[in-house]
Amino acid sequence: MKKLIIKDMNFKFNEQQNYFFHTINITFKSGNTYFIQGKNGVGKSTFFSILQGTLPHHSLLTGTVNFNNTEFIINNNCIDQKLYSHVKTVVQNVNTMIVNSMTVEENLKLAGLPTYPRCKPLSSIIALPAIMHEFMIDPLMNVEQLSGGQKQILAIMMTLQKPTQILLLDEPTAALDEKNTHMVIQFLNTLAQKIDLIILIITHDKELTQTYAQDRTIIIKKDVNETRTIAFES
Amino acid sequence: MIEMALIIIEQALLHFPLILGAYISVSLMKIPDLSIESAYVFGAFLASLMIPALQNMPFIFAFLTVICTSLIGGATVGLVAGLLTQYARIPHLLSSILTIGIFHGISQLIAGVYLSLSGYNNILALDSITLHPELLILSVIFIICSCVLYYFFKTELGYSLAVLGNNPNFFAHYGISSSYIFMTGIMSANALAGLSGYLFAQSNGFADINMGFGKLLLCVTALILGKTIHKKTLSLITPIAGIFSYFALQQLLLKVGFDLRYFTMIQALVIVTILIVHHTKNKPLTTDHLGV
Repeated sequence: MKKLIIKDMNFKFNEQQNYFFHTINITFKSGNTYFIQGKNGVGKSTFFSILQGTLPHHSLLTGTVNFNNTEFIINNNCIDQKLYSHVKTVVQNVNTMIVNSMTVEENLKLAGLPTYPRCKPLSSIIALPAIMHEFMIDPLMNVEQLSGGQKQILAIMMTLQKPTQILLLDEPTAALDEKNTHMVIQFLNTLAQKIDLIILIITHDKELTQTYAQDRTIIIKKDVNETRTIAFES
Repeated sequence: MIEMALIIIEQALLHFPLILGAYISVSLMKIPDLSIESAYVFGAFLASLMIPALQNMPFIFAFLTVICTSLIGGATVGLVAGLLTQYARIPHLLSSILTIGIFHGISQLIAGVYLSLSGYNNILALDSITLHPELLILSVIFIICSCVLYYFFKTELGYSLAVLGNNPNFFAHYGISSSYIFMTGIMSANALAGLSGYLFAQSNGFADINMGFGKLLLCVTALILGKTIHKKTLSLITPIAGIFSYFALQQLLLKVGFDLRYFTMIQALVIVTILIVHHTKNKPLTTDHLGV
């Protein structure tokens, strides 16, 4: 089992402001999906930015991050670049990540394209077409025929075409009905266990967290000084 | 009847590289690539300028030189249009209009308004064939172009061009350089148009500054005809079926006594009819802002 341990992390947007996050201590274990909850503007996306390495200039980040028994030094307000290569994100609007006029298989292949596409036939798929069968996705199907939930699953699979240990999802079920939401979360749970991933999901859906992850829900709250704390729901 | 078929085939083969270029830029990349009209002229001019120097050279050397020159000429036009779009941040419609202006001047500077090729050996013609002496070499070019593009459409780069037209945001998300893909696409599209310009100039015996006029309409018509026949994206059948049916239609109209002066109008009407029929049948042709 791999662990992502965040210790004594402090973060502020610039020198003058109060701490945005103060002494964050939290541990994530692989094979699990975690749900992150909190009001709008509370800092869920900022927390993702810290893990992705997309913080704005002039921000201040201190503390230690340990992943898979490797210490990643925080230097120049950035966690060591090597951590970011393990982290992949699925954005809220998955339509920007998939090509509608092509088949599922072609989309999966396209996700593995290098920075400068070459004049070589498309490389083969790395990830698991077996899982996709369980969720009724045929690799030869056109993406236009997929339901919203299936598109979400496809976007996740495309993200996993490049080596990933930590997967971040920003409201993956916001636009989905109950049936599709259930399907996507089922898929994520299966995925986390099968390929030993840490999956963090931002969601507003309280029902969802109660059904799937009572002990794996993380709440971000802010106090009177506008300083945020991150902790598991007690 | 056979004579008519031969004319259709010859005309289609002459315009085949042009339609391939338009297929890449207009149909796959979904950009209003007006500059292929300019590439068509510039490729023709540049290659025609080489011809006097190549008179006593071995056939294969002369042949490869003119082909390469026309390709480079077309690609230069594409390069300018692409650079204006990518690095000067001018919308592509405007940058291709500007490119047409620029190369209208450059073509006249290097070659004047009219270049006659009569009096020189026709590199495409084989002496042993009396009727349609260029058909054989045109067929060879057709086969080579088809094979290269068939392979190209199966590669990472070929797919990327289609992705660019379908979802331009795709590349930013996966960290792929979209300007590289854009430049390659537009340069190869214009290079092919340049080649087609040379073929046309060689077979007609002259290159003229206005010979590119209306070529984009020809391409759009042919591509829409092709699309009604074959809908799959990234397929060579669309441009091939399109260009052959286009010239079949043209010759048919000629046969029934139609004046070809009005053919441009007919093209526009054909497009309008096809689009309206598809819309009223409640089964819209999967078209976009460019109609292809």
